[in-house]
Amino acid sequence: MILRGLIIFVCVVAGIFLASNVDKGVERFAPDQLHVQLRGTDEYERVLAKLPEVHILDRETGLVQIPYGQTTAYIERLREHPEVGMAFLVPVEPTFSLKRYGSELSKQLNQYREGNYGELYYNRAPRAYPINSYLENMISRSLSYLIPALIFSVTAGLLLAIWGSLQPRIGRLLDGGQALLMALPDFFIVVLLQILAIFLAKAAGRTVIKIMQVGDDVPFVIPFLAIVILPTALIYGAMRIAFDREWQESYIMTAKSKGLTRTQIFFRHILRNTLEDFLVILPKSVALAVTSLVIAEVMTGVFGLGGYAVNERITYVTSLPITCVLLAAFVMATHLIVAVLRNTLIVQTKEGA
Amino acid sequence: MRTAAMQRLQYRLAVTLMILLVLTTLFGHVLMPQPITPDMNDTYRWETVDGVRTMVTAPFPPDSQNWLGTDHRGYDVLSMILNGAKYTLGFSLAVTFCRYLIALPVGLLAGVTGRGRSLLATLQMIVSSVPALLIVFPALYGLYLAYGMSEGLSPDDPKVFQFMVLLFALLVLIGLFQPAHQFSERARYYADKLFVTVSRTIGASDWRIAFRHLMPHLRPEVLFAFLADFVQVLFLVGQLAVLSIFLGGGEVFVIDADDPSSAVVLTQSGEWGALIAYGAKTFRTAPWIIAASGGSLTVSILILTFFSKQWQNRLARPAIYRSRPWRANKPALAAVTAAVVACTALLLVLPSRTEMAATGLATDEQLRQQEEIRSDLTRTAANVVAATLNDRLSEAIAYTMSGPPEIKVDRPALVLDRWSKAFVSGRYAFVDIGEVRVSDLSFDRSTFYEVDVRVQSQSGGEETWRLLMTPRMRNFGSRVIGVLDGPK
Repeated sequence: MILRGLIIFVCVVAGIFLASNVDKGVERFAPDQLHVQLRGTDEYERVLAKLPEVHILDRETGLVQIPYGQTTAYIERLREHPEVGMAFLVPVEPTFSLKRYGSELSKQLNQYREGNYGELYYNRAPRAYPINSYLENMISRSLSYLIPALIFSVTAGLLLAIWGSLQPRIGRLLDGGQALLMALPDFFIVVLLQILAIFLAKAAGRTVIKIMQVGDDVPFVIPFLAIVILPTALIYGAMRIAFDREWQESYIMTAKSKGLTRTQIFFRHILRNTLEDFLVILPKSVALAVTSLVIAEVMTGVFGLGGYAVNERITYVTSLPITCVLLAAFVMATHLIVAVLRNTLIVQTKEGA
Repeated sequence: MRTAAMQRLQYRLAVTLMILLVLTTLFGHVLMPQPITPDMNDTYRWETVDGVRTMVTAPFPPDSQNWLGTDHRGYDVLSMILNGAKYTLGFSLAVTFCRYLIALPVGLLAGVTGRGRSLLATLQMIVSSVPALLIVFPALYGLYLAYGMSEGLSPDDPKVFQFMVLLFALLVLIGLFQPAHQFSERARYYADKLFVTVSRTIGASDWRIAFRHLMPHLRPEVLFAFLADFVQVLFLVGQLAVLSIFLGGGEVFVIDADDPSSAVVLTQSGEWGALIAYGAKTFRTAPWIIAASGGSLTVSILILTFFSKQWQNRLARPAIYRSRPWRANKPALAAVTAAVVACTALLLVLPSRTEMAATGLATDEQLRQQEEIRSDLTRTAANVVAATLNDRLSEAIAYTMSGPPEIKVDRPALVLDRWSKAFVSGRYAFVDIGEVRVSDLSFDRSTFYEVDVRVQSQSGGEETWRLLMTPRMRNFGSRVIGVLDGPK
C-alpha cells in the first residue's frame, strides 16, 4: 500500500512538474533575429558597423540577424547606440520544441537543486523576488483558514447528515439545500458572499466582513465560508446516502424487532457501519476544499499559496510548480492518513481477508 | 398520486428549461437586445450629480436600457452574454463529447478484454487523487503567457486558435481516465454475464460484445455520466476563468489608471469565461459584470443538474411518466413544429446582431477597420476628457504616450493639467467629442489621427481643441501622443 501510494505521489508531482513547464518548450520569438529602428537616419551599415556579427536582413523593416539565443544581450547593446530608436524581438508563430523543453526542464531541476524554487515579478518592481522568503508566510496564511474550515466542514457535514437521518422532515429540507449548493460554482459562492458583505457594510455604515486583502489585513470570513460550504455539502450528501442505505439493511429490521429505538440503532449500528463511507469521502472533500481555497484566495486577493499567482500586484511567477505540488501534497497526505485509518478501523469482511 | 403528479410536473419543467437553454445558446446572437459592434458602444453619458451636469464614462450599472449594465467599453453585458453562450457551452460540450468519444470505447474494450484495465485504474487514481485545477492551471498559466494571450489578441489571430486547441486537449486529457475506468468496471461486471459468454462462444468479437451487447445496458448510465461530466467541465471552465484563463482573445483595456495602471483583456465575443475573468478583476467597481456572467454559468449548471436528476427519476419510475407515443401526441408535435418554425423565422427574418471584430465578415473590411479605429479613438479621447473634467490627471496621463520626437507638438503629460484647470475653474465646459480624421503629421510610415474636442467657453462661444492620437497597436488601445490645440 505504501509503495503504491508513493508511486502515485511521484506520478502526481512529475505530472505537475511536466505540465507546468510545458510553456518553456514554446518558441515565441525568433532566437536569432531582431527588429531595429533607427532614429533620424536609415544608414544601417554605418550605425551597425560597430557590431560586425550583426547582419542586415531587410533594410525596409529593419530586420537584422544576431548570434543565436542572444536576443536580450543584443537588445541592450543596440539600445545603447544613440542613433538606434528601438530594438525589439521578432515574433514568430509559436512552435513547440521538444529539445528546448527538455533543456528547460533540466535547467529547472538544477535550479531546484540549488534551492531556487521560482520567482515572483511585481508590477511596481523591476527585479525578481525569490519565492523562498515568502513560502513560510504563504503556507501559514493559507492554512490559517484551510484547517479550521476543513475541521468545521467535516463536523458540520456529519452532524447535519445525522440530524437529517434522524429527522426525515429536516432531512428533506437539507437535501434540497445540499443539491442546490452542489450545483453552485465555487467562485459564484465567493461572489455571493462578497455581495452580501458589501450590503452589510452599506447597512452598517462600516466594514463588517472584509472582502479583500489590503496590506497585511487578510480577510478570514469569506475564504473560510467559501472553503466550508462545498465540502460540508459533499460530506452531508455522501453520508445521507450511506445512512439511508444502512436503514434498509436486514440487520436493522432485526434490531428494530428487538425493541431498539431509532436513535439507539443509529448510534450503535449505522454510524459504525458507515465509517468506511466517511473515510472514502474525506479525501474528496479535502480536494474540493483546496480548489475552493485557490478560488477564494484569487477572489479576495489573499496572497496565499493558491491565489498569489494571479494577484493584482503580480505580473508573472515562475514558482507555480512548487506551490501546486505543496497543495497537491496536502491532498495526498489526506489520502495517506485515510488509507491508514481504513486499514486500521475497517473490519475486512471479504473471504480470505 | 400527488407525488407522481408533482414528479411529472418537475420533469416537464426540467425539459422546458433545457429546451430554453439550448435555444438561447443557439439563437443568442439573434436575441441580443443591442449589437456589440464598435459603433454601438455607449462610452459616456451625461448625468446630473448634485445639480451639476457631469460626464460619466462606462461601465454603467444595470438600468432600463442595459438590463445587466455595460462593460468598460460601453457594450451591453446582456447582449454579450447571449452571444457568448454558444462559445462557452459549445466548447464545454465539445470537450465532454471528445472525452466520451475516446473514453467509452477504450473503457468498454478494456472491461471486456481485461487488457489495460489496471493501467486505466492507475491513471484514474493518479488524476483523481488531486484536484484537476492543480494540474491544469500551472500548464495553462505558462502557455497563456507564452502565446501572448494576456497582451490581448484578436479572436482571428492564429495564436488564439492554437491556445484554444491546447486548452481543449488538456481539458479532454484530464477528464479522460475517470469515465474510461468507470466504463471498464461496468463492462467487466457485464462481461461475466451468461449472455456475453454465449455470444463469445458463437464467435462474437470484443467490439461486437462491447457495442452490441453491453452498450444497450449502459446507455442510461452513459447519458447521466455525460451530463455530470459536462457540468464538471463547466465548473472547471469557470474556475479557470477566475484564474484569468479563458477562450478566445480580446483587447487590452486600461481599467485603473493609477500608477502602475492596471489593464484587463476584454472579450470581443462575450465568451462567459472571459467575462468572468474580467468581472473578477473589476468586482469592486462593477460587480454586475461577474454577477451576470457567473450567474449565467450557474443557471446553466442548475438547469443541467435539474434535468439530469429529473431524467434519472423518469427512468427509475417510467410507469408514472407514461405518455402517448410521440407520433400520437398532437399537442407535443404542434409545439415542436411551432418551435422549429419560430426558430427558422428568427434566423431568416432577424439578421445576426453580432459583428464582432473577430469574424471579419464585413463586406468592406477596410471600412470596418476604419470605423473601429475611429470608435476606439473617440472612446480614449472621451476617457481623457472625463479624467481632466474630474481633475484626475494621473488617470488622463495613463491614456497618453510619448510620440516620436520628430513630431513637434505639445506633450500631453505636460499640458493636460491646463485642460483640468480650464474645466475645474469653470472657464470651459465640455460639449462633445467631435470629428476624427487622419492627421497630416506622420513619421516613419505611421499614421496618426486628430480628434476634435468641442468645448464651450464661459462667454458662450464654442471652441475646438485637438488631440493628436495614435491608433491601437497590437490590440493595445489608442493613446494620445500630443495636444494640437487646447485652452488659451
